[in-house]
Amino acid sequence: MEPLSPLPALPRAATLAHSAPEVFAPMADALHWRQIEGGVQQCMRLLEYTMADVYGPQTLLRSGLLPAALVQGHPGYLHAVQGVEPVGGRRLYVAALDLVRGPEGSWALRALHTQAPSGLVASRWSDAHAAIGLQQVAKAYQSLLRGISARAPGGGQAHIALLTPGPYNESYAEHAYLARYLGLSLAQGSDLLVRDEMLYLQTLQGLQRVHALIKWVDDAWLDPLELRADSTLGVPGLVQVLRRGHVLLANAPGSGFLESSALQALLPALARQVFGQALQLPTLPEGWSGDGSGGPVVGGSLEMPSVQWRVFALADEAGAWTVLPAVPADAPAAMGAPDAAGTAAARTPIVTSRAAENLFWLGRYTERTENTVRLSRVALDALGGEDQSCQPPLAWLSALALQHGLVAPGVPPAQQARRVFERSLVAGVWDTRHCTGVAFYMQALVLAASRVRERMSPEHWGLVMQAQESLRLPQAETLHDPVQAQRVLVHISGLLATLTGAQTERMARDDGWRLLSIGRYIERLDFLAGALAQALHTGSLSAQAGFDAVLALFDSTIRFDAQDPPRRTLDALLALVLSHPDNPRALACVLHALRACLRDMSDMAQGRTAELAARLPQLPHLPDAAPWLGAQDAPQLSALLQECRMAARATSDALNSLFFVHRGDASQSVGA
Amino acid sequence: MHLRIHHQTDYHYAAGVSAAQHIAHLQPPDTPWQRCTAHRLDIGPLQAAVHSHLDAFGNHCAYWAMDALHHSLSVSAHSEVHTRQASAQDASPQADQPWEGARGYAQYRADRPGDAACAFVFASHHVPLQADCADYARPSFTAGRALDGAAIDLMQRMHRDFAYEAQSTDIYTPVAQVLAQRRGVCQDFAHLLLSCLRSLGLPARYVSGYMLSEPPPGQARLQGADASHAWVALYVPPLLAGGEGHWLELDPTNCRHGWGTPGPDYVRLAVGRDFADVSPLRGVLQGGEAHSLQVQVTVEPVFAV
Repeated sequence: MEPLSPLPALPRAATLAHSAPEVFAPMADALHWRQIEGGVQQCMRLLEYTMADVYGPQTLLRSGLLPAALVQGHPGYLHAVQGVEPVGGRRLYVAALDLVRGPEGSWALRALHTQAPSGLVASRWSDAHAAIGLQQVAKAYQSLLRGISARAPGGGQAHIALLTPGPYNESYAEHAYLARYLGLSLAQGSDLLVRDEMLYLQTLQGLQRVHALIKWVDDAWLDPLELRADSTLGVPGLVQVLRRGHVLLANAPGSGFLESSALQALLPALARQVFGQALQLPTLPEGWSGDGSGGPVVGGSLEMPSVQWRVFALADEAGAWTVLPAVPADAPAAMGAPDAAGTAAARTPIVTSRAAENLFWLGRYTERTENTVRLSRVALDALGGEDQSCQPPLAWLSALALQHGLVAPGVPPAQQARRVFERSLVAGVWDTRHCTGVAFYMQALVLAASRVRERMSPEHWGLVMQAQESLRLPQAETLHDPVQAQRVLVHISGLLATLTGAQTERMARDDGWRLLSIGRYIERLDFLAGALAQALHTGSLSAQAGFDAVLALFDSTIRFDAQDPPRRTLDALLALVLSHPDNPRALACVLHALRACLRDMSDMAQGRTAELAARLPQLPHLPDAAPWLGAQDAPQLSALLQECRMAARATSDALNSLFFVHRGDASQSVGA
Repeated sequence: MHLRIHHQTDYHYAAGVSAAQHIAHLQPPDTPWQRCTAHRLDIGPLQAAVHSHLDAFGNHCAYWAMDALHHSLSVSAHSEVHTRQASAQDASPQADQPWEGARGYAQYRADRPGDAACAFVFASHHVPLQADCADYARPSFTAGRALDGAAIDLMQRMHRDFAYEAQSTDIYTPVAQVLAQRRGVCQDFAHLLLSCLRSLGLPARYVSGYMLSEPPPGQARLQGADASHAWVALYVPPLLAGGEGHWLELDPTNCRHGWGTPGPDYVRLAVGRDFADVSPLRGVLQGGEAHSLQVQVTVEPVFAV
C-alpha cells in the first residue's frame, strides 16, 4: 500500500460518477449536530441490541415486542446465522442513516443501511464537516479500525480486508478509495478462500490469513454454501468460519431486517421497553399496523421531504458510536488520514493475486497500447509519404499491421491496395470489433486499471479516464480521415507518456509494481524483437523509409540523430536498438531491466523468478556485436531475435502459473 | 420400533475437484417419538474432519471440507433409531378448535407474547403463498370446521387427486405446476400442502426423514431401494398464548397422519421451512465439471435376538 497521508484529492466527475446518490448536505449548526449525534447513537445502540436479541435469545419476539413478520418474515433475516455468536461480541460497526428534516426543523430517520452502507465518501465539502471538525473524521476511522482489530481474532494484529462486489458494482470507486484511504487490502469474493475453517486472502506471497472483513456485499450473497447457492460474490464456507469465531465481519451478516421501514417504525416502542427512554431520533413512517396485514401503515403525510441527508455511524474502539458526515473527497491535506496502525496491512504490503495479475496485464496493455500507437503512426506516415516507390518497407509495415490486428482481417496488403489499406488502418484506430488497434488495447488497459484502482492515485486514475475519453468515436465524416487520426494518435501518445510516468513514479514499488514493470518489459521485448526481425527479413532497412520506421518504432529517432558524430549507418542503427546502454528500448537494456525485476522478486515462489531471469538470452555488448552488424540478413541475429521473443512468452507463461493461477477451476454448487 | 438406516450418497466427478466444502443434514434428532441411539457419518475416499452444530431449527448439521484433489465423494450415514407410536397424550386438546382460531393465533398482536412456531406461516423459497393453493384448500376449510379435521381432509384429497410419479418433477418444479399437473413426488406434495396451509394463514413446517417400506409379500427387502421421504407438520396452537402448541404431522404421499409423528415407521431427520433448509447434502466444489449422483437409502427393522 502506498503511504496514506496526506489524503489524496479525488477528481470528482471521473471518480464518483457512480457512487451513492448525491445527498444534500444541509446546514447543520453545532446545536443541530449534537441532536443528530445523540439520536443516532441511541438508535445504533438499540439496533445492536435488537440484532443481538433476534440472533440470540429472541426475547423481543417472544414477548410480542417484535412481530415475527418483520424478522423471520423478512428476507434480510438469515436463519443460517441464528445462534452464531460473533467474535468480539458485537454485530454492527458501520451504518449509513438517511435523515430528513421535519416541518419543525428537527431530523427524523428515513432509511438505514447496514448490509452495504454506501456514500461514505462525499463528493464535496459540507457545512457538517466544519461543525464536527475534520480531524474527527480521520480519528473516527482510526478508532473503528483499532476497535475491529482488538475484537478480531489475531490478538490486536488483525489483518483487516475490505470485501467489495468488484468493479461492476456501482460503489466500487468508493470501495477502492476507502481501501486506499484506510490502507487495507481490497478483496473480491474470489480473492478469498476458506481453509481449515479460517479465511485466507490469495496473495502474491501465498495465502494470508484474514481476521476481519469490512464488507460491502449484501448478506445473502456472502456464502454460496449456506446462503444463496448462485452467488459468485461471496466466499464458500464463510458462514462456517464465522460460526467458529475465526473471522470478524463488519457488519455481521443478518442485519437486513433492520433496514425495513416497518421495523424502524417500531423503534420508539422498543426504545421505551428496552432502554426505558424515548427515542430521540423520530422515525418515519409513524405507526406500524401490526395486525398481520403484512405492511406498514403510514400515519400522517408522506410527501417527499425536501431535505435528505446521509450520515454515518462508526463503532469506536470502546464500542461507542461516532456519528459523521461522509469523508469529503476534496478535503485538504491537513485533514490527515487514519493510519492503519495495528493492522497487518500497515506493516507488510499485501498484493492480492488478483491485483498482481491485473497489474501485470496493466503493464502489458500499457506497453502494447504505446506500441500500437507508434506502429499506427509509422504506418500512416509511410502510406501518406511522398515516396511511393519504396516497396519493402511498405510490405513490412503492412504485414506488421495485419499481424497485430491494426487493420481488419482480409484487407489486402498496402503494396497492393494502398488507399484501401490506409482507410482500414485509420478506421482500425477506433474499431474495437474487428481490429485490435489503439482503442481495443486502450479498453483493455482501462479494464485492467479499473481492477487495481485502489493502488492508483486519483490523478493517475484521472489520466486513465482521459485516455479513454480521447478515443471517443469521431464524427462519421472524419472517421476515415488520416489527418484526423494522426492528430488523435499524437494526443494519445502524450497521454500515454504521462500515464507511464505515473506508473513509474507514482505507484508504490512493491512486488505488484514489479509485476507491472515486468509486464511492460515482456511486451516491449516481444514486440520490438518481432518488428526488427521482420524488418531484417523483408530487407526494409536498406530503404530510407524502413530505416526511419525502425528508429521510430524503437522510439530512438531523436537519440539517433543526436549522435556525435552523426553516423547514419546500419551499424549505428543496430547498435542503438540492440545494445546501446543509454537507450531504454535497446533490447539488451530491456532484457537487463527484466532480469533485475525478476531477481528482485526472488524471495517469492522459492526463488523461481531468479531462475526465469537466468534463462533470459544474453545480447552481446556493443564491441562484441561487430561481426553481426552490417550483415543485414544475418541468420545469427535473426535467431537471437527469435530467441528474445520466445523468452518473453515463456517468462509470461511461467509467471502466470507461478502467481496467478491459484484456482483455475470454476466453482459450482451441488445438492442431493 | 427399532430401525436401522443406511443413507449412502455417491458423487463421481468428470474432472478433478481441487477443493470442496459440504454441509449435511443426515443425523436424526431425539424427539419425544424417536431416540437416535447410534449415528456414524463416514466420508470418503478423502478423510475429512466433520464439525457438527445445531441449526436455527434445532437440526443436526454437519460441515466438512476437502482440500486435496479428488474425483469422487462417498457420504455414508448409518443411524439406529428407536421410534414409538403417537399416543392419546400426544394429541392437542385444542385439535378441534375452529381453524380460523389457529389463523388468528398466527397473526401478530402487540398485546400478546409471540410464538416461535408462528414463524412457519411465511412464504419460503419453495413455498410461495398464492391464491390457487388457497383455492384448492378451501373446500376442506369450511367456516368453523375443526382444524385437525380440515387439515386431514385436505391431505386425503391431495392423496386422491395427485398421482405419485417418480421423475415427473425436479427440485425446481414450482408448486403451481405440481398443482396443475396433479402429479409429483413426496417433496412436491409436501411443498404443495405447505403452500395450501400457509396461504390460509396456518403455520406449517417441512419434515424430512425416512419411512420403513414393506417389501412385497414373499420377497426379500431390497438394499438401497428406499428413498428419503418428506412430509408436513401443521402447528396446532395452544388455546392461550404462552401455552404449549402441538404439531400434527401429515403425509400426503401415503395419507398418514399423527401427533408428533405419522407413525412408528417414520424417522424424522430435520425440520425447516422447506427442502432448502434441510437438504441432506449440499456442497460447493472447485472444479469437477459434470458429475453423476447416486443416492441409496435402506431402512430396515432390527429385531431383538
